[in-house]
Parts: sequence; C-alpha cells; structure tokens
Amino acid sequence: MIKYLIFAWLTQDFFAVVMSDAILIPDIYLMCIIFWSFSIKDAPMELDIFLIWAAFVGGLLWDLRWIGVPGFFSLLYVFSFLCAKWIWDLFPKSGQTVMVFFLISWGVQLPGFIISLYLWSVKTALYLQLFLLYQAYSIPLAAFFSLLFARRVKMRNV
Amino acid sequence: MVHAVAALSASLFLLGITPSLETRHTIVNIVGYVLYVPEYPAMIVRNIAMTLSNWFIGRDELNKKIEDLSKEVELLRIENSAMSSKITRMEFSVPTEHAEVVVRNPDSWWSEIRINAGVSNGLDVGSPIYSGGFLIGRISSIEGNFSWVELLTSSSLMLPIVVEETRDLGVIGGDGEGNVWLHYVPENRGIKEGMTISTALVGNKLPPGLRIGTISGESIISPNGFRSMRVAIGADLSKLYSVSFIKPEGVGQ
Repeated sequence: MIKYLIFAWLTQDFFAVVMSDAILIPDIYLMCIIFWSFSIKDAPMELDIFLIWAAFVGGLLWDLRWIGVPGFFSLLYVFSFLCAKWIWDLFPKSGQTVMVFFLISWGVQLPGFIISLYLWSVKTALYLQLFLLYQAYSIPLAAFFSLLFARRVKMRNV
Repeated sequence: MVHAVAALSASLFLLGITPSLETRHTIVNIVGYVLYVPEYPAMIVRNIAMTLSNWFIGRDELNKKIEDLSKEVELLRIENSAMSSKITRMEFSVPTEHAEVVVRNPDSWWSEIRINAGVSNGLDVGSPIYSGGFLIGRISSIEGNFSWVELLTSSSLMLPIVVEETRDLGVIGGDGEGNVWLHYVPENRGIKEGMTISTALVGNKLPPGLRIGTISGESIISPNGFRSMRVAIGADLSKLYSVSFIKPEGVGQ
C-alpha cells in the first residue's frame, strides 16, 4: 500500500510540475487514501491510523514543496479524510455503494480547491471559470477511483 | 480518535510556529533536493509540452527568432550598461545562462523564487538575476545547484537606482504585493512617466546601469515632501518560468 501512496503523491507532484504551479491539481493522493480506507472490507483500526498519518505526511510534503507553510495541506488532508470516513461510516454496509463512494470522493476534493483559491489569491472574477475547470478533472478522477472501488467490491464478492 | 486529534493538532501546531521558524527555508531546500530527481521527467515533459504547443499554433519558428533576438538584446543591454559605466567586473563574452524557477511559494509569491542554479554555475550571494534583459532581483542565499532569488517586488529589498534621463538618484522598494515604488525623489525634479530607471552603484555584485523598468504615472506624496512613484518593471514577474544570469568565464568549463 505504501508504494501505491508514494506513487499517487509523485503523480500529483508530476502534474503540479508540468502545470508549473499547484492551483488546479487533482488531489490524487487524498483520493488514494480514501480508496484504501473504503475498499478494504472490515478494515482493522490500524489501517485507519496508518492512513491518518499518511495523510498528514503527504500533506506536509506537499506544503514543503508547493506552499511553503507546513501544516496547511496536512491539516486539510487529515480533516478531509476524517470527514469522508465519518460520512462513509454513517451509511450501513448495504448502503456503502459505488455511487456513495463517488459522491464522497468528488466532494472531498472541494476544500482543497477552495483553499487553493485563497492561497494563490485568485481574482473573484475567475472563480466560476476555475470551478468549471476543476469539475473537468475532479469528476473524472472521482469516477476513476469509483471504478477501481467497484472492481474491488466485485472481486471481494466473487 | 487519539491519532486523528494528534494529527490535526500537529498540523495546527506547525501552522502556528512555522511563520516564525528560521529553518523553514532549509527544510524546503531539503525537500526540493530530494524531489529534484523524481521531478526531472516532469520538467522535461513541461518543456516538451511548451515547445509542442508553440509548434501547433504555427509560431515555433517565429518564437525561436524572438527568443534568439531577446537573448541578443538582453546581452547587449547588459554589455552596454557595464561598458557605459566603465565597470567590467564580469566577462561578457560568455553568453547568459538560463535557470528554471523550481519553487515559488504563494505566501512569498512577490518576494522570492528558487532557481536551479547555484555556486556550481558561478553565482554568488548578491548576483543579479534577469528576465528578458531586465533586472528582476538578486541572489539572497545560495547552495551548490540551487539558490533563492529575492525579487524587486519584495518589501525587504531596497536598491539604489538612477533615473537615466535626469540622473536623479533614488531608492526602489517593493510592497510585497507585486508593486515597486521609487522613493525619496524630490517633488520638483521633473521626473515623468516613461523615464527609464537603472541600477546605481551598489557594490561589486550589482554593477550600475542594469535596466529595471520605467516610471509609471501613479505617485504618492509623503508628508515630508518626497514623492514615491510607481515603477513599471520591465520583466513580467507573473510569467516567471525561467530566468537568466551571467556565467563568469571559466565556471563549469
């Protein structure tokens, strides 16, 4: 799992380097953490503890590489993960469907986007344009991880 | 639950202490060093993508010519500055070198950038850094292959300058929000919009005569009779993907 998380972080960093900044970068790392947390059936408590600290470390590294203020994205990632986990656990096992996974994984990217707007002092006039651009990658990303989740659930049930 | 609270607290603690932490740059540098290797392919992809996009819009050749001409103009401007002031501390027969901007943090967007050139490229603390032939800042701290550049728009960088048309001396300083102001200019000196400003004699690292930009129309008058005029710097700091510097002869050859 660690190697997947490292790969996800480096992929996210790859996009940030290619686009020369970190404004509109998909939160692949956070999505990966959520995927691992939700897709393992009857996951032990140790897994969630590991993922909380993975979110912290990944966010901290992102801060040190792109933001310059350690604590910003580590707080965001940990908080987003905890919120996602809390919402997920509100549903009974039978209700933890691919659609719910999709909605959570789409919604969990919103705080990062909003904070990025603030951090990079984006002009208000560009909010709508950037939001639409953000949808162009956040929805496919959520759909991609939902497909992975669906595949994993199917394999689990075979 | 305990781990969740601990991770959130640790994040908040870091947020609270780091603005005043002296070692923040060092930590960012270490992370930059470690990530330089895995990010190298991404930088290549970025350069290829930029070249391809130019090619697709059919302006590649034109851009290349403009780029070559810009480099030539840049070199001529610097040479001219140094020759006119009779100071030739560097060998200008060597073309300018380029460096990529590898870090530009949002909280210090108008204050500093990190470039992938350092001591090994012949740079030193105080060395001038250019973009498009105009001075954009100077090296504030340096390592082997990387250095931090303090931008003209930084509120902590003050540079003595000269208005070329009137030979009036003044000081420019940034406000940390993307603006540069010319300070200490007496109101009756007849300095007008469009006049060119360049560096005055500062020290052995920053020769006089380096072009900075022009005076813009906006001005503020202080209570003691001095005028602060806004400076339109020649380089576009909003599109700072790469910078240039002069590599002294013999370095890295």
